Amino acid sequence: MSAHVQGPDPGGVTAPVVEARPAAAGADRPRVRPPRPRKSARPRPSFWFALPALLLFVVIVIAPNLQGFAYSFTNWDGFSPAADLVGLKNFSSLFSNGNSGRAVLNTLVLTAVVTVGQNVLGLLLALGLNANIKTKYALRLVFFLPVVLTPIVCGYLWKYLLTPEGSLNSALSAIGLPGLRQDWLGNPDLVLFSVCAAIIWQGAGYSMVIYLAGLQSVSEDVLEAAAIDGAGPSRRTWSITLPLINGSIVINLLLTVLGNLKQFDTVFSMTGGGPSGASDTMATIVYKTAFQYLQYPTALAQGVILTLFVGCVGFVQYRLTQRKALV
Amino acid sequence: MNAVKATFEKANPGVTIQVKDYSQNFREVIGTQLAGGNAPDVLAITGGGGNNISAKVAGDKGYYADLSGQSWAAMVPATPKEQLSNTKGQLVAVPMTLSSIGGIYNQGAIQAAGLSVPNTWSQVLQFCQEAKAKGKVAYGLGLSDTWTTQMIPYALTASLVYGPDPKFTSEQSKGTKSFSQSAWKTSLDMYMQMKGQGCFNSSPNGTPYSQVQDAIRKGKTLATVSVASETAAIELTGPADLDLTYAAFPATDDASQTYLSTSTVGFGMNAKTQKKALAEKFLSWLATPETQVAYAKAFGDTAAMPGDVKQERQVSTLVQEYVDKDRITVWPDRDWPTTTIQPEVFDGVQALFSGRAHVGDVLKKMDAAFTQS
Repeated sequence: MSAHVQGPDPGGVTAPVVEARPAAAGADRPRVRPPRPRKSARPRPSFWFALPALLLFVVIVIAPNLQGFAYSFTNWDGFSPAADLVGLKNFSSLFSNGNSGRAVLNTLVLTAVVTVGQNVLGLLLALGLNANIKTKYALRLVFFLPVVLTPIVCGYLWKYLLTPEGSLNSALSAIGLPGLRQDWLGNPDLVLFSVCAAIIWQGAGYSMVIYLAGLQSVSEDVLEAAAIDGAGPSRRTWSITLPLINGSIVINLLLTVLGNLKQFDTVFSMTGGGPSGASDTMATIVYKTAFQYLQYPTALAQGVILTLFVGCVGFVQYRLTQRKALV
Repeated sequence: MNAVKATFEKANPGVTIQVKDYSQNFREVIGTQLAGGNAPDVLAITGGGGNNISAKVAGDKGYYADLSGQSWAAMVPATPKEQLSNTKGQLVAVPMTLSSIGGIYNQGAIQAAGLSVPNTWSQVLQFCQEAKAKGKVAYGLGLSDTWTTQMIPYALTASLVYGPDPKFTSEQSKGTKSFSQSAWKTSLDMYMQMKGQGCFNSSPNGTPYSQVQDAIRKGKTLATVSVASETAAIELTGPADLDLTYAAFPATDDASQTYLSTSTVGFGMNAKTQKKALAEKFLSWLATPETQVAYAKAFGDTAAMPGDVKQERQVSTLVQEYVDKDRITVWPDRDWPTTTIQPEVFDGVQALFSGRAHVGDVLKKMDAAFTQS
């Protein structure tokens, strides 16, 4: 009998193997077998190769963020380097501002709607375009095209589609449905959902590509076996395909949730947060506080809260889904 | 600036003026550059206070050079001088244009509809009714671009608040006056009266201002209330026969009691410039009447210091008439003590048009923003 105790393989380095055998004459100690060198696919690069990138990251991202964090506890005027510490005053003022509360609610609604909409649409597109149809490559390109637009361009495009005399209302009139015409961006009850539609339109192609990558790793043999056993298309999708692309689902959910919690570009270009704050998100409030109200320390405090919030949500989501993603 | 810089470059061989237009992000970009020490040598400065790059905010922090000793400084008229000086009285910019807010009318379209430019408040309402009867929009409103929300309130309060009572804002600072207890309420009520009378296009909150410009070019909309330089912007891509008339926007039934709401924009010098002598030379050249008039003509506005040079645009003639009659006021936000009031106007007007607020609510928030300063 032999028992091999071996740790996880840390990147091609083989752990020593302790082999326990029945005691033989003159040999009552377990023999330690020297590590067997394994042929590594490629040499491990030195840590120092990462140093230039790390330095840039620290200088461009980490240091300004830390500086901003420090300024959020001061009365900095946005111009001069001088600033006095004011403790938590900037943070406490956030909770007395009604706009902040509304922006938090809007952000959560937007994130929920876009996460569900973008992933459902992206998954449906991927399932459809994973089938053997002649135009699948052309269609993949078409559905992916909005992703290459910048969010600002996407926002302006949709802004002009959704004006009272824009293409959508004109199309509704043209097909005999003038009663469905809406003030898509001027009605406070509709505006947030109009913005969500634009974000979903742009992001669905991105989600589609990730789902497609997952779908292509699903073995045809497994699906064929299930079909022979009598499973229909929906049963195969629900019970076999979706569990097998769980990793793609987790990644997509993580990206859409985190991306939309800090949503700024599309909202700002479509509505500027209006009308009257009806589509303000946490990120647009930070921008307005800094550059319209010129209350830089308060904006920094809002930014700190937003960063912590997004970080916490991301961490929790990652921890909850990590195990499933590895399936 | 692009229209006039070639003359300076021609007169100064070897000098190249690089113009950078940051459009709507101008305040944010310049504010950041001033703080970072990499702002342009010469930059546009808005009069008064109210924003981070204005004469009384960035000027007070020493970001703009003191130009009080320049040869042209003595020729600057009193109102632009006060607006473009910091609170220490140092002049920080050469005034270029006297911007104003008024009605911009498609003259051809209103004549075709058998209408004329209104001179009194009653005529405004009648103009709206008759335009509506002819299937036209009287005044285009693109509130989706928030800066347009303030145009009509500023135009009305010039005649109702700041013209009759030039010290209104300083009285507010002392706590003796407020938006809620002033003719600001009348002004916003009149704004809502216009809405009720069908003066505007449907769904102003969802309409971008550029669509209003297009509608005026096509004659579907007869007019809008905006800054005077918009006459040039509307003409730019309009038909060759487009004829626009600019007029003060009345708030009472006595045309002689109408005031024009104005503001001054100028060019100043970055205090940290490495090209001080050349920048001063350029500013002195900007102050000459010929350059002033050429710049104003290209910008579509009125030169601040035209001297004896004749200004041809109808906008300039009208503005000069109000200057001569001393019936001009300064845009209220230029003298407001904090930047938080103006966004309350933006949000408030949008809320009024979406039915989510009453005039009293909006004024209350404006008062709160004023007193918090």
